[in-house]
Amino acid sequence: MDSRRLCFFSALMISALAVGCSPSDTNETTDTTTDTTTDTAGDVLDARVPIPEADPEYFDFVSPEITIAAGDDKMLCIHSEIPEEMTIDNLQAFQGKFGHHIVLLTAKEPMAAGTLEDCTDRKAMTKYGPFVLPDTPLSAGYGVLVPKGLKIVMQVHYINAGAKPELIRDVARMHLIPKASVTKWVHTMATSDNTLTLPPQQKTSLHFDCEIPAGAELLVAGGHMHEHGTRFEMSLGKDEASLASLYLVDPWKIEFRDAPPVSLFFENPMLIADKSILRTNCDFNNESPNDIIFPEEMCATFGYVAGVDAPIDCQINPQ
Amino acid sequence: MKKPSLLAAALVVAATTTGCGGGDTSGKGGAGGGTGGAGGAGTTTSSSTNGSVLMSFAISNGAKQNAALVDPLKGIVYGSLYKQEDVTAGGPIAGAVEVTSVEVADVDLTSADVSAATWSGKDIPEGAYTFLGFWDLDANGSATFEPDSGDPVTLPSANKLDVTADQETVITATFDLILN
Repeated sequence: MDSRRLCFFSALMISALAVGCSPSDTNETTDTTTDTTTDTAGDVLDARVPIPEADPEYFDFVSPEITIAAGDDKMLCIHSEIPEEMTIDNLQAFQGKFGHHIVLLTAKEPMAAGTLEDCTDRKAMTKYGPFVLPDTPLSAGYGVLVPKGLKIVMQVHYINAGAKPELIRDVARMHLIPKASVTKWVHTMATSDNTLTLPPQQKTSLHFDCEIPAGAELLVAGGHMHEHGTRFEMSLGKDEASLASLYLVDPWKIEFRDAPPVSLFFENPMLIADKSILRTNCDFNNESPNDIIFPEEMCATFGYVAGVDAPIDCQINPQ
Repeated sequence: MKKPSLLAAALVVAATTTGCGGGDTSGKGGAGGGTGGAGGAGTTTSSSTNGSVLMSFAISNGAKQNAALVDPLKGIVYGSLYKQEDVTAGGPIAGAVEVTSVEVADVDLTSADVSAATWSGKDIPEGAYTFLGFWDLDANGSATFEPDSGDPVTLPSANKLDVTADQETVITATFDLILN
């Protein structure tokens, strides 16, 4: 396989449009940052991740060079499109100082490849779906098929707690594997209660159920809430009477909004022999004087499943 | 561009990955060192730009109820303080260097919510830090300084602290995850 890379060069401020590099630019390692933006100038911290050498085992996403102002808490989404079908088993994420996270997501509202979108607003998460979890390598025999033309975003999060602006450039590397090596295809799982409403100045506990088809093999599961979450639990069972806890985060912490704990079941696969219920329980505390509704707050799960023909997408929507 | 292995295996509750130890955590020592023992500490430091840390330990309810937790909640805690700016959701960034190592014997939560044993770090430069560590409940981590199945670990997004000059920062570090 040839080395492949999508890159988005050009130094720019957030909210600007990035320039997309096509796969034909794969050997580009151009550093277009000017000398005046480096740390040597003393006024900007250079936190750029080096662009990796071309490697046929990886498909690389290289973010544009972006300046994050001192004190800024920014989430940025760089739109992209998969140029050709690939099979992968991991995503490695590389960030510089003050980096918080990188994740690749599918775009429900695709924009032109190379578009840089400020997705700091938590409501923006409704525009994206799960795709590949960072630094969660699949076991041998498992793989994710990435179809040609898939619209994705590379989401990067920085909290620049430093005293000066920083120049960033992140790298996400998808590890490629031969399609023939895969015996179990892995799909994403996403569930969400989009009817969520938290009355003011009270605690709320809610749950919703999703159906998991027989034959599914749960590999990875995680929860997602925002800052009003206090406890998160997933349970699984053939019916309500047999629900057993599968994943518990108690207490839920604000820090988990963007980097939640994730349960992995690679060594002890969670085989679901019969059609089952996945129950998601979310506890919240809304101390504000107003209703809080989705998507300002969320109760959602994400994960990987094998043994199914398509992603599991369970959205509880208003009637 | 080798990424250091991750102390506290990013994002993992019941993980099969070991991903721990941190690229820079194999050694002990470093400024501050680590001392076990209960209580104490909290004296002012010798430098006007340095402070101290008094750290105790706890475990979340979620971790306590994890099926992978099989050993009694008693053992040695190993870990490191990193500059917060060097820790992402995936763990320390490439090239991150621990500011100081942490080792505390006899951390016992079999009947307490917060450990009596504490770590006291002295002369730590002012700044924002993240504690990454694991609790070696099965007593087999002293050689590798890496957790294995059943060990509680921290999350990179948690256990953040600010050290202020001539002040003692008191923190209860929480283990939110159990490796599986």
